[in-house]
Amino acid sequence: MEFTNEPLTIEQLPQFEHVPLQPLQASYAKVVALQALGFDLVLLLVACFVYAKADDFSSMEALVFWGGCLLCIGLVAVMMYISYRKKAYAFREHDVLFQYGIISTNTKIIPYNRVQHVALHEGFLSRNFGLAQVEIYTAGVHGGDIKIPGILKEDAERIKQLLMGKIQKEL
Amino acid sequence: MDFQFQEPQQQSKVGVLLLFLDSLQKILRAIAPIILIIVLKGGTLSAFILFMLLMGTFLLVACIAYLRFTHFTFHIDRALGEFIVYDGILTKTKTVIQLSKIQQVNLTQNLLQRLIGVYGIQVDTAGADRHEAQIKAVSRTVALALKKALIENQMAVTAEETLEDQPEILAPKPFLKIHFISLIKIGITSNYIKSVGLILTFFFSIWGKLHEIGEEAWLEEKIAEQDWLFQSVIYSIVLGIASLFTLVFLINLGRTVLRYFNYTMQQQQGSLLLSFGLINTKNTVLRPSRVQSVVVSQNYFQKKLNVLEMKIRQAISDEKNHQKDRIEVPGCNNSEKEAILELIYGHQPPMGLVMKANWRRLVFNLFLTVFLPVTAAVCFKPYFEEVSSHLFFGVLAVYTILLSVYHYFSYKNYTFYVGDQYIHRRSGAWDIAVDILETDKIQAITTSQLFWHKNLNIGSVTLHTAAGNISFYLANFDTLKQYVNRWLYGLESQNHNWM
Repeated sequence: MEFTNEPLTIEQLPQFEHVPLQPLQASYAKVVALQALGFDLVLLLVACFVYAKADDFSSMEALVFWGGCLLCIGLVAVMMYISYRKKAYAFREHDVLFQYGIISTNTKIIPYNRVQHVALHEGFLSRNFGLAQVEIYTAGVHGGDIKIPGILKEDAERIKQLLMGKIQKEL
Repeated sequence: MDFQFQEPQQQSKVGVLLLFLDSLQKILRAIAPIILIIVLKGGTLSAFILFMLLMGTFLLVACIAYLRFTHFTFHIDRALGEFIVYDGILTKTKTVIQLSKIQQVNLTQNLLQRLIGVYGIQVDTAGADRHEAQIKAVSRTVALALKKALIENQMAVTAEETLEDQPEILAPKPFLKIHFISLIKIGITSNYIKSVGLILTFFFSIWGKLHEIGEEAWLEEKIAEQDWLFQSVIYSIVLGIASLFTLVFLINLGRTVLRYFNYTMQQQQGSLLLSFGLINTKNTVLRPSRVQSVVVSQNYFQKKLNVLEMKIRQAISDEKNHQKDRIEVPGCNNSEKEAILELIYGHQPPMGLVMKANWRRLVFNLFLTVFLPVTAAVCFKPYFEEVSSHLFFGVLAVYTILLSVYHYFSYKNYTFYVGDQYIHRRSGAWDIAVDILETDKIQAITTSQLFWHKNLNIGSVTLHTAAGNISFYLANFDTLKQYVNRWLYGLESQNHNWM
């Protein structure tokens, strides 16, 4: 066998930015929708409460008040939807990629040999849709962890096994 | 004496005195406001009450101190590999520490302990926000023997693990000592803002204490009296600023000297042993393998005086108490800095390729901290009718100029140096800090881009480490991504220990 040891240039290295990413499960959209609904309901209740307490609103002020409230409620829904759409992940041979964000696009990358432990989290809503969240922890202090929601329970279980295997091997 | 510590033992006899003084000063501090009131109100009756109060406290504290002494014992259970401390008079506590879990054993000596001639011992483990066990008063021989006995076990374990990883740091090195003059230099050239904060905290805590007992009017009166002494406003402002600066200066100087007096660093079995402090002598161990990043900072004055400050960040063992893992080296000179870096990394970390941030960073910062607040202030101007226009716009102009200059310099200094093994980041406007990070210590990487920066091809990167994050904002995104790929390649193709 011919042995080669050519110098690597940066262009030849695997590029994380061209990895095709896997979006979250479509059914997770329902979970997000329910969460948005819950949040908006709370907002609405607060708004009603404030409106009832302060009874010296002129009709113009009331219009502005309710307009603002509707805007906030709409904004929450839209932002949660964008946040859902933007989330995507990929498991490469040596690391895991997770994309997230609302007005920015962030990509977090954790090499498997830096993973401390892996956990599965089933939220109250997610469980009803057979979904789970994979949580990957490193020793990084502020934001060194990845939490990927909206993965089918079986898939999440498999991903956990895969990661555990990788960690074992690295050790 | 039995130096194996198999049998439960008490602290040294003179320790009673220490416990007594310790409890006494705590109690006196707590009842200080009451005493203050009695003294302020005056009268012979209150003098009698005061005397009785103090005598009572004295007797009570003496009893408590004696009981605390007799109920405090410690020993090592070799069979189970545990260090056991019994404490408490009414509520008894038994603290059991696995010998293998012990991370640090520190000998301490504060002013009281120094006067009496005893040592305190603090035992730290990973994952606790405070000292797991604390012994207040033992003689020097016992302290050293106990430290040795506690560490012995642990050394045997860690030596096996780390011997092959770090042969370079086993070579003996002369220790480093920070001169008194360097401390003075640092004391007068740094931490101004921190000291102003301290003064304010002090003032407000006194205010709070007085408020609790309903006597804050007394302080207000005193302040009001002071004001009448000065005839003109300008004069009192100038005097106020001058006295504040002098105070800050003195506090800084005092604090630095008290805290870091006789700062020595010496090498011991592959780690660095630090000890410093005038009243509280602290001993800490720094393990080069636990170091995650180093910050070297220096301002203009310090550069002229050839002193600099270093912060060495170790892996954070518990989230609440970061301070414990952050070691500060105040006032070393350039060659001493190089010696410390050599001890930690085995060589001088080379600077890599220079990378600057996009000019939009400067504009964005100015927009956020100058344009927005100034616009808001101008908009709300009509609501401040009592403020004269001259003063209002004068303050705004000074604010704008100061912040613009600050941001200009901090943008000018903001540089990323990317090398194969080390990443440096220079930042700051006045205190210029250089973060040094070994690429092997990276835990995770986040790249980030705002959607309107996509076509401009600028973005940011955050490197997550076990001692905090290092970010670089608004630079050429393609280049950053290339670097990220290279760092990932480095991290994933080898399996270096990060701790």
